[in-house]
Amino acid sequence: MTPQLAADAEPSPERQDVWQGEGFGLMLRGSYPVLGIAEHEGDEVADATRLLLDDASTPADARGGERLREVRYADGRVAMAIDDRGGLGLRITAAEFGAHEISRDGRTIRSWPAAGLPAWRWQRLLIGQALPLAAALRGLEVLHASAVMVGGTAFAFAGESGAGKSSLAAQLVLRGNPLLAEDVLAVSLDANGRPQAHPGSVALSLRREDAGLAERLVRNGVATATGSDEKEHVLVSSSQRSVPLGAVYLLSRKGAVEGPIGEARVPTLLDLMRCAYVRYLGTQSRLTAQLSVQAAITQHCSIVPVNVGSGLSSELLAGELEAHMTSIASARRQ
Amino acid sequence: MLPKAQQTLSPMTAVQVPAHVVFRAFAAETIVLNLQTGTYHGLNPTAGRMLQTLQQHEVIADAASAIAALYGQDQELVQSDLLTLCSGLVERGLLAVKPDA
Repeated sequence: MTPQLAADAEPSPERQDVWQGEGFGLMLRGSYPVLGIAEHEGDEVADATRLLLDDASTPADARGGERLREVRYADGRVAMAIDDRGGLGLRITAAEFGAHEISRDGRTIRSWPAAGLPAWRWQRLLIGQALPLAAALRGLEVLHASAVMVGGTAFAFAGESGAGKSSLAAQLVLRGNPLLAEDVLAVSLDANGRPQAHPGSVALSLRREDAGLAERLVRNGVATATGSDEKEHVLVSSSQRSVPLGAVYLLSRKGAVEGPIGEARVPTLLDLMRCAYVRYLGTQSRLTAQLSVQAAITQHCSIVPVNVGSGLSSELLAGELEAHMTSIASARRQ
Repeated sequence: MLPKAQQTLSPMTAVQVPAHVVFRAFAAETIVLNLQTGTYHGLNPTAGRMLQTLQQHEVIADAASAIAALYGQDQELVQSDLLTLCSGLVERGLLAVKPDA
């Protein structure tokens, strides 16, 4: 039986930190690279969130806590659960991927990958849930949005799952715009109180019907294929840095606007609550930090409704959006 | 009839935003969040500016005077509006009457 790390133990020599990265506005340090997160080269970074990998496939301490979020399969089985275990931290468990425990200050993530899974697969839970939660615990606001960079400005695409955030991001990458974040975008305030969007994961997950899009990304040399399950997964090559957030495009299939792109307007609290990713975390420090970032977004960014059910292909829609984003980025520079 | 809270407030009352309440200026409104209940409240820009002024001038009459001077408004009118706002906020637990020193 492989030895298991005690809760506060240092990792064994073969688990020493060998990788530093930067993602979701966090400096990261751990014994393994996180796929899709930019590597940080140079000296050891201070105040990093530590990534610890456990040798066991499930946590030995099965004590529960307050259930904050639960996702179930159609047959009723629990697919993913997030539990608040008080001083022990917050635990995310997903039958198919493994478990992660995040300390209350967001400075440690201990992971138990499900046995036999390749990194690109078990790290989907790390990237999709554990790192965004750590970012929220460390005071960043996390939006359910993909984002690209146009003219030195970040543009986010928010919307419910299935709204087409990823395929739109892929189309914009094919048009030469760097991908900033896939599905989850971390935002903080810069020194002047303006919203700053941070690079997240560039591991793009595309629906099976968008397999052709994944192939084009790989063929054009802007991505490498990592694997496939119910989706096609590619790793986009992207030079990333934190940039000001310019606008949030709100994708909807309900056709609430005439034409594909609606009028830009000032975001409301309700708009931004709908875009919030970590909705289950209601600590006072998190709600206060969230309100500060939301206020700044309403003051410095616009929200633009986009009708993805207008009949326009994602390729043509990407072209229209690119022109729209270019004009916003240019206006902001003047 | 005045609301219960307003009956106890006078221009010389000092008020403060309790520790469990935070507020931020959004582009079109001010959002006040009660951290104990997780409830969000929206204030129009005028009320938002009044709340901001109350953080600098705790006595209602002082805040009214500052607002009236800044916007060139009648002080008595401003004070009356401010008392009404304070009453509503106190009733909702978003503002507290400061105990006498």
